[in-house]
Amino acid sequence: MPELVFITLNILFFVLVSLFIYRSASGSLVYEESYAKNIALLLDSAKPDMYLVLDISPLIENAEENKYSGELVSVKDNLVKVQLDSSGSYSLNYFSNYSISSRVEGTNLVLEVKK
Amino acid sequence: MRGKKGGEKMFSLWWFLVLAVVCVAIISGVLLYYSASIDVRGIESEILSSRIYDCFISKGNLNSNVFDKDFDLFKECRISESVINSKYYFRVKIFDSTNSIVKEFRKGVASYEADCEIQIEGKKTEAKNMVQCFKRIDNVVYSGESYKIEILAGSNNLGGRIK
Repeated sequence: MPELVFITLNILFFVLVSLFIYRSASGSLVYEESYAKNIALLLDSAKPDMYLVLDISPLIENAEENKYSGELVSVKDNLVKVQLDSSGSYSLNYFSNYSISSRVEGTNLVLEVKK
Repeated sequence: MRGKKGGEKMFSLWWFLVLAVVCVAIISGVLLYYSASIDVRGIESEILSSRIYDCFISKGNLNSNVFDKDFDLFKECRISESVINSKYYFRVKIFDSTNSIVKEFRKGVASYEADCEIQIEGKKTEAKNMVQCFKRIDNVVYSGESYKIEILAGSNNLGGRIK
């Protein structure tokens, strides 16, 4: 009986550590931050009449893994928001004051910069 | 038989102690690795200075409207005033050929100016969330005369996770 408890606890330990590493490495937080910053930098350096296309397939895959079906990227009021699960989103300001519209086409995020 | 049981108990205790140490090490390592923030403030400062440069200068010539009394920098450069005033700072100085300042603009969080000067001078600081700055100096032409423009831009736009 004590051996059984010992083995069970060991297995439980390795399962929990593996789950923790897997969850950390699946990287919702990392993806949210890196894409939000990427998009903000793109918008700040963009000029009028630019048409920016960004591959967001890693975001889509990550959101699917997290069973999140809401808006992945939102760009409005000088704020970029990237959300990959229902626990929260990463947001970052951009200073450019051009009119910006964003939409998702397939696995791409399309950003249009207008005067 | 008794000794063996005691040994087994000791082995279990030590084993769980080793597991606990390994667990703490793995968790700290993973957390440290994945919580490292991506710092783009330096790049933002550079982009901001370029935006200002592009709106002040065209083809190496200083735009004449820069000297107008009603020159609205935010409107002309298409930069959001509210965002600049909350997380950024910039200073534009225009010098004539005698090195006298003929026009100056200071916008954003005023306290960042001193921090930027410290950073540009290359002094080491321990502050973690100190503003990241960029300075550029260019020679320009206005009405056939040589001028100098100095742009100092700083960003402390850290972003964050909202729950």
